[in-house]
Amino acid sequence: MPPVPTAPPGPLLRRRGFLAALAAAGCGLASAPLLAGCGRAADTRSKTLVLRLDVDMGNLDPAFATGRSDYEIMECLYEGLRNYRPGSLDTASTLADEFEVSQDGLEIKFSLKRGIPFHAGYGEVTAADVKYSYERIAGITTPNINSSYQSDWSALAEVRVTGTYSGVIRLKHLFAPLYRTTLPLERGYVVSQRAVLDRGSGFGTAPVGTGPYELVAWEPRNRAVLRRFADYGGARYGYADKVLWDEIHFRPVLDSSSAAIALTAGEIDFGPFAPLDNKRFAGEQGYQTMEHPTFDYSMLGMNVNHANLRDIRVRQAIRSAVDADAILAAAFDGAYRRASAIIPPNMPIGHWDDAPVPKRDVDGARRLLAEAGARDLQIALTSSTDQENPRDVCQIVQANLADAGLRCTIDIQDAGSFWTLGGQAQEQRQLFYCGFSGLPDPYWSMVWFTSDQLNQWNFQSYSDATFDSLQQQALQSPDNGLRQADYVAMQRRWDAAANTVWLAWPQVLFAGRDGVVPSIRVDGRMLAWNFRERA
Amino acid sequence: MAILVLLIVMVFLALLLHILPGNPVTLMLGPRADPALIELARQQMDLNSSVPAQVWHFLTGAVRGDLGRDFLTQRPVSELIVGALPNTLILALTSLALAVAAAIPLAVLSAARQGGWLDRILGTMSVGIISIPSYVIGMVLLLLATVWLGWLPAIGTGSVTDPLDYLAHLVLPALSLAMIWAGYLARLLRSALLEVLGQDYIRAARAYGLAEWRIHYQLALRNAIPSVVALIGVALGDLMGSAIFIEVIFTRNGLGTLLYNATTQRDYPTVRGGVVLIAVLFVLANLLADLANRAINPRLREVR
Repeated sequence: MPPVPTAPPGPLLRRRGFLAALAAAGCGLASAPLLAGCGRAADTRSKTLVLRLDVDMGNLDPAFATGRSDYEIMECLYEGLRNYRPGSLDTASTLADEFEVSQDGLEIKFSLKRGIPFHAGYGEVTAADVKYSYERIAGITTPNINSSYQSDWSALAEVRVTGTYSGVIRLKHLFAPLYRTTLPLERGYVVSQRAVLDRGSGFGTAPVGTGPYELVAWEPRNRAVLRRFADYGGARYGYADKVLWDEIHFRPVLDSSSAAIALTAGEIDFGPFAPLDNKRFAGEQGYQTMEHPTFDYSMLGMNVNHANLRDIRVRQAIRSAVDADAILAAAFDGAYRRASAIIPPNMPIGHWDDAPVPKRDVDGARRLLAEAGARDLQIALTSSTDQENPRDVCQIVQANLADAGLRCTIDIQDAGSFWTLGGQAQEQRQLFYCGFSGLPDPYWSMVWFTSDQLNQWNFQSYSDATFDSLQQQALQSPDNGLRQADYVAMQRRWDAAANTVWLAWPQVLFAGRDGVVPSIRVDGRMLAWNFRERA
Repeated sequence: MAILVLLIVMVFLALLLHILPGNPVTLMLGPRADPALIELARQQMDLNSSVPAQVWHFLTGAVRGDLGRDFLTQRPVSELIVGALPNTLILALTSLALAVAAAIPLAVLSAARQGGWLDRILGTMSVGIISIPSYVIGMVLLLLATVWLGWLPAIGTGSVTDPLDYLAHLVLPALSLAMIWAGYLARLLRSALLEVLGQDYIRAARAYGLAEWRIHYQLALRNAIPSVVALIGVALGDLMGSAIFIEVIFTRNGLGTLLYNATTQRDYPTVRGGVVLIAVLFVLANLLADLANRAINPRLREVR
């Protein structure tokens, strides 16, 4: 019998088989989300507040926090010896039962409230935790954690523990901002030493504090979920009501327009918005808007070391030519107050009441330029993509300067490039639009303009020994009256150098649904733990 | 070839940080960092090593699964990527599936009525959609489906533990990405179908009385589709890249927003890990597309 011919061996994968496998894989993929959740019941809805952040959470360790979004979450998680009362420039005792500053201001005796527990079963707050919390940021623990915020505690010599719940904070020298920025804000939060050592670098995303809420989940770029801390010690209840919400969700929504849509869709209850998006909700039924001052400032700065701007008459001409009111109206929709100097009026000390507010004077600008022999000068104007409406601001400035006879080129740079140029690139900077943030003490507004900040954050390249000396004097002065005089004197000297056109003291603009009663900290941060519901 | 591509990407990334203006460490640490801290951070990120040394250190670490640490959160980069990647992959694959599902009937309709008013309308629509950026489509869909109609959620990724919720959050972003490729694939497939429909065996099938839908879908489409399969790899790579804008608009957790945030913050370890992963995925996608093409097109196989 002849052998039965068999088909020759073909390829392992035939077309039909491949297409069938592909279709099956596609169905499997499509049904994966459906299958994943089979059999799990939905949670019963709790009283939940959803707040918008404009940047995702970065690091919730007080020694390494990255910015505004972190601070707003941290306010719910941590407490300090003393913190700001909601909506007030006054501080009140939180963890501290007693808080006594010595006559010479170099020692602070404190005793803690008893029985205040940390989250996650890490026991109660003791003076050892206070010592650890402050010394680690100051960089005097071993090993040194190299916190970016060492300067906040630069005056700290040590925290001496005198008892389980008592201690003394000893300072090397007076440090006036200690009582307005260091102690009541993020660098004054008390962390659990045991938790930090247990969790290591993971502490930043799994923090342990004493606050009324604890972090239970962080879904990066989606939400941070805080749940009411069942064993909360009530340290804040001396000056605030009991917390209302079972859960607080912080949703990072980078794009303000997307956030406005989310608010309309009911997916967000409240949050900060850009002026134009905020305007949509003004007067709308069911919504509320509000504005809150900050300690920030935005400006048009001039690098006095650049050849084009070395002549003070050129700088004065630019100051005369720029129409700051038009910029406020067009670029910020009239939402911000016009600035006249560095320190805004809501700062506790340092505001220069009768700072000059220059009116636009194009003829005067032309005259000054003619005297300086600088007609038809070309100036480069730079700004950053992370500033508010940089293109609008720069185009208005360009048009204003053109009226005076100056040609201006615009360069909007990536934030990373704009903020960290150094060396030769920094020397080439000419005119620039940017803003700096502030804290409730004028020291932090002025520190960037001292001589030791040249080639770093002192973009104007302003160097004045008297200015530096006044800054140092005010830093270590216990007398608010003297500090007030020092800061006004500094601003006068700054104004005389004509290296800045002050634009705005920005406010934080909030929008939200009508049913929520917001609570905002003195510097414009949301105090989520203190939000209420309208009856 | 794939390994060479990856090596080039890694060298480029190492060079990029030195070419880009500005000091990445200063931006990350903020204005209060002192020079000693800045120098320490540079050492931690291996920025003081030469470019070949940086590439070698990264390679040896990557082989062990260590892509470094995200500088801001101090979490392993691999952990952040593992948390973000599935959402982006699901978004890209769903968009691709939607694009193909829409392109096929559009192409068949156009090819079957070549030159007719339907063909012209579909052609104009396809070309029109191709020219609209995906983030513009995203914003329009957001307004339509969320604000005006209130059908779908506006932001977020949803929860995998609630599959309907997850799907609801996926619809708009996937549609935004799918529409451009649907238009593009429809035009390509239409051209391929027209070529196939002109063949003798199609005329023979008609002569035998085979129904038109069977001619189009069972005979012609089967022979036209290999021409677009090769593009699947390119499409997948493009969709992963375009996902960045869509993830920002819809506030979805994904590789796109991870990289966007890391880039603006100059968080170099995360940028490096994320970009290398995208390069790997791109290379894999093209490899799969090549294999798929060989599998379904007998003419590309070797003669034994």
